[in-house]
Amino acid sequence: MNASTQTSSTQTSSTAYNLRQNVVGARSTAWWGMVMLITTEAMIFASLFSAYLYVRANSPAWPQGSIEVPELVIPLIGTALLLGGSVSIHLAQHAVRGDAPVQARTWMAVTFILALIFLSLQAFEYSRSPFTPTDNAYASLFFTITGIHGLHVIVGAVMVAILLMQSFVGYLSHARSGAVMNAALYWHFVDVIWLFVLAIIYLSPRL
Amino acid sequence: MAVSADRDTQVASENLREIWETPDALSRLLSTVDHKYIGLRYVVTAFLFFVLAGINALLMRVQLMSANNTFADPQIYNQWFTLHGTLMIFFFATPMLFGFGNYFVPLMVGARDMAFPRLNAFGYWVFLFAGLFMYASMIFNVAPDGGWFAYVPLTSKIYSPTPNLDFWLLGLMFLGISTTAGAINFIVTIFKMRVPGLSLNRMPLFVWTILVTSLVVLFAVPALTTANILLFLERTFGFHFFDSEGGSPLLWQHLFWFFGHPDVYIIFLPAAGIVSEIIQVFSRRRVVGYTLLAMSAILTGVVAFGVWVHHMFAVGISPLVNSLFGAASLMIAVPAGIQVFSWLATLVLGKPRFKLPLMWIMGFILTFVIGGLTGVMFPAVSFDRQVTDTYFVVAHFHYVLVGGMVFPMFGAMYYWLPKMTGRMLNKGLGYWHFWLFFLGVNGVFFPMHILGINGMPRRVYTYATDMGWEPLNLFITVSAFVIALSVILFIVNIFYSLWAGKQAGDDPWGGATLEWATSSPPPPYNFEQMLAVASRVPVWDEEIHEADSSRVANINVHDADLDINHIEKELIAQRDPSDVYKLETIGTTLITAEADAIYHMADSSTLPLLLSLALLLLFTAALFHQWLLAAIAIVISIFFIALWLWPEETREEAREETA
Repeated sequence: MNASTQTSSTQTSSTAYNLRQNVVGARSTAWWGMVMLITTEAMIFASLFSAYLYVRANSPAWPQGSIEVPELVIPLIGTALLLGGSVSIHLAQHAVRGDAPVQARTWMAVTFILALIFLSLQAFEYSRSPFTPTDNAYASLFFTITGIHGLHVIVGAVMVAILLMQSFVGYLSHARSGAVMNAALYWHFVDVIWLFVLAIIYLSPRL
Repeated sequence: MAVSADRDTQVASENLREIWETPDALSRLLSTVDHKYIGLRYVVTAFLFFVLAGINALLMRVQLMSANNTFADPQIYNQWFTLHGTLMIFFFATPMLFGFGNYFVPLMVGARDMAFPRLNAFGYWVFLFAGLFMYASMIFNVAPDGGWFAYVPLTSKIYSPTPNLDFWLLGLMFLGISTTAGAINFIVTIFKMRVPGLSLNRMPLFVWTILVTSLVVLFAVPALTTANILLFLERTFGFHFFDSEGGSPLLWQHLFWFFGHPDVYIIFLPAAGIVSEIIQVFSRRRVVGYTLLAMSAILTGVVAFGVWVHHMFAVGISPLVNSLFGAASLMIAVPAGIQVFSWLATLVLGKPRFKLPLMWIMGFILTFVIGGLTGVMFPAVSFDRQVTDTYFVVAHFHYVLVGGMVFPMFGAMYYWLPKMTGRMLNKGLGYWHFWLFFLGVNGVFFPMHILGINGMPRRVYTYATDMGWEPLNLFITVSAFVIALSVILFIVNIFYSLWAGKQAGDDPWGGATLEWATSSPPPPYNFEQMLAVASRVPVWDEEIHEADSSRVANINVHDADLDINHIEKELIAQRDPSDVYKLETIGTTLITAEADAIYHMADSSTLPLLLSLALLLLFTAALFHQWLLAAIAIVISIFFIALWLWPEETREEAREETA
């Protein structure tokens, strides 16, 4: 390396904390950890979708047996709920960055409630389903993929619930916005995956 | 060699020890998050599984040494070879390399610890419990018996009604959590925790290969987890994915090999990184083609995902698809060839010293090249069909895996154990170990090529006398015991060296990378000073600096006010016992490694252990179909996760309180 001796860095009189603490986004390890978690989770869904499309490609009829193509009303309401959850957690993130903990708490509570409504709707959809997961491969894939997505919604809801608990004991400030950002990131991921579920599970059998 | 000392060093190191060490032995056992303890635990535990899986192999060899042998019945033989493969691949090879990674990646990048210390401890506990879970099946005589790739329909409920396969499915799902956690930790550590100046193009090659391997893990392991979830649902609840109710048995093979082939590189790449490091140090010259070696690691990692169908040439996929995957499989020889030629060039252009670590690497090159050559034969689809499921394949992949992973692993043991224990291994025993192992490996696996071409199928528990396979099989069995003897010598050597080994000193080999710039074994805080480097081989170039030296300006730390070492001292000075933010270190930018942020590191904690115990309860409950218990285990897990994520006070908050 070039060994020219610049002296600019030896100003030891400077105050100690030039480096920022509590960094967020790509400067923090937490953000990278979440991005990597999302990457590997996305591969689980990629595998599931591939399995679905592979079985479908090798099946003479789709859906199999006497099963009808899935209805769209409930999943479309579900789409609105999940997208709404993404918007509200985004607003929560903004609020916590702007040191407005009460708004942040409100928006996170909205996200949590939307998730609960989504999950209830999914349970309702399951309960009135004319087929069960053990009928054939189509039915198994339908329940498995929507079910595993539902589990991810539950995980997202638990994350928000933990953050809500933290907010009630006062641990929700600008310095802690990283946790909210990570939860938001995870929510957006669950959302995007849902759009794939909607397209592949609910819409594509109509093609 | 150490960084130049100043008068504060003594005080600083005492302070640092107080900050970074978990003081008493019991809490260290249960709660330490020090990457060195965790790395050492990974290495020891993985080696234990190596021995257990090796014992399975010996049992198989005893059965096969003569025709029509009745030492084992076919059922138990199936369990032996399945558990042998499963333990070797999943519970030995990957965790062993992750163990070395755990110990040496933070040292090589000059960090105080891994990016997520508690996640690191959690990863080890999960690995340990998943391994015990899997091996428990052997003790209860219900070990998995479907082969290490567990093809359906053999592994479906109707043909495997007993819980053997459930151990396999749940055990690997459980282990997947550990592997994924470890991979994420490596990636973030390598991206964000390198010392100032250690830009990507200066990173040691071992660190490069661990990075690529971790990325491959993130993309490959989910396919296995998904396949396991689907088969578990099918076996337990009567779902249909792989059976005749509209499913497809080939779906299993696609999902499994989409993981399974990249897994070969998950195992090989870090081993290749070890090879690059050892060849560099013992050739006494910078490795030839540094950039090419790093690029071939990346290329291997990418192409790894385009070759899985070559495990399925014989199952009746269209010839066009077979040809495409055959071509991709041939392509993988390109980066492998680049690496081998770079290593050879380094040896030729350097002044090699054939000490024990390098001997193992020479053994690696010989065996690995033989395995690679048979590997290049398989993409010829017609040849592949002839030898599929014969001992030729067994010979090939053992040459690749033993050559490509076990030889570098032993090289790494001789190279790095002195750093980990502070003691040298005995040379005489070491040479005996090497030569017996080398002869034993070739004695076991070379004749298998011939047996395979003569038609001996793999996984048969016995064979008829008139097949003419007996003499070679007896020879193989004898050679297998030679391998066992050599491994026993190695274990003796370790205990001998711990008891009476020569002191290693900081840098017994004249190392090039940062792990040799600290004591052996390293202190809990790794390095006394926050370092900065300006070279690929900083120890050789004496290009390690205290981060506040004037040279820092030349190594991409542009912030004129920046004075990292001063910050470190400031932190120590400000520390008081109640200060929850005592563990602090510096984060750097991804590509150029400029100092960028202060990170607060997690303190030691028993939560990783408790959470992995809760998960063990979950997987055990699933094994026995106790769904209420499983639900309870999930609630307990969530409780521990919430505790884990519960924030500590920030420095500002703590100040406000005391004020």
